[in-house]
Amino acid sequence: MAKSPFTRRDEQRELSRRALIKWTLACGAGLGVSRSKVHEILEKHAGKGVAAAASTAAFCNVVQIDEGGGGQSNIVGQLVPYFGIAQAKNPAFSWAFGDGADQGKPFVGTPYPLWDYNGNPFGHLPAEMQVSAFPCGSNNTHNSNAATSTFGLGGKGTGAFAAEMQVTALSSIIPALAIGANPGPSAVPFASTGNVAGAVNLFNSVASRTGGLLERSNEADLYTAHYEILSSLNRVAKNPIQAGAYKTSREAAKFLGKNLAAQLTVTPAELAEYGATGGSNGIRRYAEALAFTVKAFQLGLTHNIHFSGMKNDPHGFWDQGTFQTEPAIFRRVIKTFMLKMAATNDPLTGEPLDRNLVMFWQGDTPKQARNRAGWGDGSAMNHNVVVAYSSGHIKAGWHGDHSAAGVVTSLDDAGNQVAYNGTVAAQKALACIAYAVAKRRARDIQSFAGNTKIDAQVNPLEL
Amino acid sequence: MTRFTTSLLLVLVAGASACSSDIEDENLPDNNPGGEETSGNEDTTYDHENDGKSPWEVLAEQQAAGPMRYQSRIHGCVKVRYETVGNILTSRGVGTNGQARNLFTTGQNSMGAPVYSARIRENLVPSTAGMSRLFDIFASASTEIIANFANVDACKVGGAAVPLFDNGGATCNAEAFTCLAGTTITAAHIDICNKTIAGAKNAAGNPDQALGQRLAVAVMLAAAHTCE
Repeated sequence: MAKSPFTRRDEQRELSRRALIKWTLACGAGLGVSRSKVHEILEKHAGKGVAAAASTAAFCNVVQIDEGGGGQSNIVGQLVPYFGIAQAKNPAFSWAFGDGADQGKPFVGTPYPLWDYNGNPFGHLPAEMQVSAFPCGSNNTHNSNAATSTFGLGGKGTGAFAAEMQVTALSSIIPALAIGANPGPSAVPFASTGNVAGAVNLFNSVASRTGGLLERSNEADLYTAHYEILSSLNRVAKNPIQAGAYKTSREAAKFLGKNLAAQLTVTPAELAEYGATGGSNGIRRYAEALAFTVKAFQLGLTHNIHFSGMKNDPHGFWDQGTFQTEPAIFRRVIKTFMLKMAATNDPLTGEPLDRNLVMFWQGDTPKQARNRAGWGDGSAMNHNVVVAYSSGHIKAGWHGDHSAAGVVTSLDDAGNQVAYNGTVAAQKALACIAYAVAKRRARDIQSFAGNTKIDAQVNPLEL
Repeated sequence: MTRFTTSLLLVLVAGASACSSDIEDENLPDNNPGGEETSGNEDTTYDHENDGKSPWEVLAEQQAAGPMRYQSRIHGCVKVRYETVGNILTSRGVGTNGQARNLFTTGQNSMGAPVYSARIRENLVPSTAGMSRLFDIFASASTEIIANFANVDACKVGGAAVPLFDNGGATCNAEAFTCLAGTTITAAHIDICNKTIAGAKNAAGNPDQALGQRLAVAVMLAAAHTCE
């Protein structure tokens, strides 16, 4: 049926409206104007409808954490224990949860089994907001770069696909940022830095510092305006083939005169607040990255941060003194991040940032869950693990399990535990995460997830 | 008219308006008969192009430009490669130890340089972070380039240096900037370059020619090296 002129007009208007929203918010971020102020301006000059549309985030913010060199074992060993392993409370198993004799209990109310314990960094959240964990993929011991080979669909990582979805609707200065991590192939270029200091430096141009060429707004404006004129002299700058590159470059020219380093730098006091001062290098790296993430999301500078977490190879961890202290520090870092996210409102939606977040961990090897003495490499049935906090979009709990007998299971289409199939389970896990990023809009993830069936593992879209 | 007929009419009218409920009422003109104007004006009609090109003109342009597959080959805009940026700096008078060089050597990640050890190829698509760093490098390099330009062999004509600026430093020299940019500089470019020099002001709000020259070099380099 042909569309009516009114429908076509509305569609056209929606496009221009979306462009208006996108560019207004991007300009606001670039100029350091708060999102609420931008919404006020939009409401005044473009109407309530546009302002309301601008305040709705179509996709969640994404934090992807890669654990390499044996590091993924820290996640199941210190943060989210296998349910079957935890329930057994066997002192010979590789885990350390609870305090003293209190080794925790099943979390009440989660759709799939999950273990709760004292110090659980997600323990303050309701059952429906708890993490989801997936036995999936294959073990990749000591591989620091298994992101797309093990945890990718069609050679693309979930974080990279998330960035591609996000740029269609979310405005930001830097669409996606990789800190010491390799996001793999992506149509959206990730800004890449080696560490958090490097990430801060992205927003700390020499030109904008005191004494810099663009220190004063007059020069910054002059530079931006004349760059735009010069680029417009290129007759093919508006050609669709070049338009994208020029759009990015004009944003960069505008951004050159802004300096946000002071707001983004992670201070020693903040590290202390996260409890990371006495932690290992991995813990400090975590704390720095997460503290930076809160600030970057708060300022709307990016919506997608991918960083490298633990790189240790903790053989014999349970025989060392550090196992008494390190897990508690690690959990405090994560918990502090979650509490800060809860206490900080999303500049776009006005909701707490933790309600608009998908954070997931993937890595090389979960190590042997039943070998405390050596915490040996490899894993039962050669499985691997992905853990995700999804703001409640994915059903909470373990989507499969690792039993005390060493049997690993994954879920079938109906959500029943079946014999472990790493490939299928990985497809489902990654599709679930993409689904969460897309805020339950299954259609948005079809190009990534295909027809992977995840209905039993996710919460439905409420219309 | 019976009560039944009246009710039926009302239901039909309500149904008809429900079908078009996707139109935002608040944006529509008030078309009450006898009241305000019923014809549209600038504020009450959809804002569309009346002076655009005809479809035939667009078609002719597209045919002249060639298919997208061909255009992408000749007009592609990949970023300037990391190594190339280094070569540009070196060949245009930037030293090995200054601030610009330091920004360059520490900017590998943000500029998408290849990491062969991790089997990561050079990123070809410009990113905001990468372009910001590139422009930052040019901004920092402007001082060195201006100071050393007379010694840049690549930009000498017949063995003699060409000045970057003419008229007592107030205007840009087309030959020199053509060499700097690596592409032909037109009168329009020079006009913008001159206006950049004239537009710069110091902290007191007075014209600052030296600052303007630095700005001119920085912005001309940025515009010239947006695409490889």
